[in-house]
Amino acid sequence: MNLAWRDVQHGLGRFILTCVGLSLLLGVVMGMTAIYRGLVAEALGIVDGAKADLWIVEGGKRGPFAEASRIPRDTRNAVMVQSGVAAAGAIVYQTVEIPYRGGILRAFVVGAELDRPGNEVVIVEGRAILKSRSELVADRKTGLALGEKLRIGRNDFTVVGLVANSASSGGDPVIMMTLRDAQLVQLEFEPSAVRKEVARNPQSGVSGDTVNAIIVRLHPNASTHDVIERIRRWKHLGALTNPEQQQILTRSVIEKARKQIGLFTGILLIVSTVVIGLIIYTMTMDKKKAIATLKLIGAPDRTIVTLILQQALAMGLSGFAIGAALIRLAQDYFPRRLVFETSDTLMLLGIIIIVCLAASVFGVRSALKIDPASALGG
Amino acid sequence: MEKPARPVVDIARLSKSFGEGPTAVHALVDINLTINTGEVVGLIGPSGSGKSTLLNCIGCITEPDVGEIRLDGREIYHDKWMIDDLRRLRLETIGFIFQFHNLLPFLSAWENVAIVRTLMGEDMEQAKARAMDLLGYLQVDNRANSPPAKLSGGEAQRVAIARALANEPRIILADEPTAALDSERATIVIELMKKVAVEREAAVIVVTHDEKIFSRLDRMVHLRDGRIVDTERPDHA
Repeated sequence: MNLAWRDVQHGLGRFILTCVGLSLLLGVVMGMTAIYRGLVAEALGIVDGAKADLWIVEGGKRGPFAEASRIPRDTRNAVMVQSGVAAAGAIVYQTVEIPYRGGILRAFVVGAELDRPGNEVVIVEGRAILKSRSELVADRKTGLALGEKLRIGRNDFTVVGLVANSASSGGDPVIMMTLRDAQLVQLEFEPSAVRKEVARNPQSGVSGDTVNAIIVRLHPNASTHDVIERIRRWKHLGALTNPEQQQILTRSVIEKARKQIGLFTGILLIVSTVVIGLIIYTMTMDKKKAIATLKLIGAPDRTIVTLILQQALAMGLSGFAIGAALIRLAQDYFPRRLVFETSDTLMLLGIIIIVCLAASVFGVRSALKIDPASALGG
Repeated sequence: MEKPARPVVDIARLSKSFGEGPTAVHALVDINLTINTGEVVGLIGPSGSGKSTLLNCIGCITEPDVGEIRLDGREIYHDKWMIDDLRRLRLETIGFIFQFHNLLPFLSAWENVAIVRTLMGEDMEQAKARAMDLLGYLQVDNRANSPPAKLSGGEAQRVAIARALANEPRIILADEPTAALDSERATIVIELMKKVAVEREAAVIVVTHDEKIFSRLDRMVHLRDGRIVDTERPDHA
């Protein structure tokens, strides 16, 4: 007969309540990991989605995500004619806050040239943008619906398509539009002094026909190094490979969040260990008389240790399973994307098993110290 | 024909102290005692007289400082005996009965009895059959599936006796087994233990303050300040 299981059955209500309480704690641990993975996925989603071999940015800058970068739009034409370049497209990024349904919609506007690199997106509902000055594609998390009109600055746009899981590294959902529209949006969100300067002198280069980066795709046999070297000869331009861009994002943008979340997850795991340890210790002390009786009638230590370890593992694994179910049920209510990776889940499962075993140490030690003679007498 | 009695517990020159120096407490001093099969012996004495220490020494729980204890012919506590050997001896040779039955609350009545057999390595089916036999012998088999919390005091103590008999012990150690029972139930329990002692050729040692069962004992060993001060055979009226 399995003593651990029989004891659990004896106090089933209490055991379930304990597991549910523990599951909330473990659910938060899983949630924190999923939030971090979501941050990475969102931050790299825009970069990876561009499918760029090279990012041409303002010289000396690490733009366009880590730092501001502005280059003239016609740089694209100069880049296009470089040997080894297969395609190039100018791109604009701008975080905006738009009055929407009585509140504020914060979004990350991406402006790309039609039929050029940077414009490819996976439409989950509706269609892609076909013309300038009226259409946009939005991420579902904006709350926008197909066919809905949205006023940005002084222009009205119609939502023609929806995408999913597309957000900036800050978690703002993406709104995609043509490059021209995005440039106008960018100008309208400039300070008024800049707008006046552009109106007085359109060739000033202060804003107007500038973009944040040029996305470059190379021919399959082209030398990335040679192309970068040629582009860097123009002192006002810089070139980054896609892995370099990813590294800048992960180091500059996500690194602190990773440390923050990692530290918090570590603290939560320590708290979980203490909580499991206390629960196991209390459960063991509640059975002090029964354990003393078992020892007195001749039960070996391994019977007592097995009883405690099995209960600790049952509690940890039940808490883990319930926690996983709860956090997955709740994931759509989080403002930012949660990404659950099997490797994280398995690693956490392993950690929970180790935590349960470690947390049982006090309970096991206490149980082994119980004097069988204490079963005798009142 | 009744089998001749033979010694099951044989204690010689047993002493046990707790602490050292002037504050040492001499719990047992030069105890000599022999208990035979079929005998129900009471250890009587005030608190602190050494009854529990003596019970613990016989029960392979507390090692004496000096002296010998032979259980069923085997000398225990000699140098080669390890803690696990003593545990094994408890499991195979001794049955314990407690003041408050000490049934495991998370097991049913039959499981409380069967667990002893499973600890001895018997499979569950055989252990259950043996447990049901014992519960039948003690006339509580109708409550076999009940948890201890649903048993009356008398029923719980019978199940506890069944558990003590599960390993077919040579020695039964009972610590105040009737203290929580009324007079009628106390008499039933002590008679039951006498029956067990005779039929199963076991020695029963009872620590008790319960005067109403004194007359039912075969022998009363009076202890005071760790010494045996008197041994008497009650008048079985």
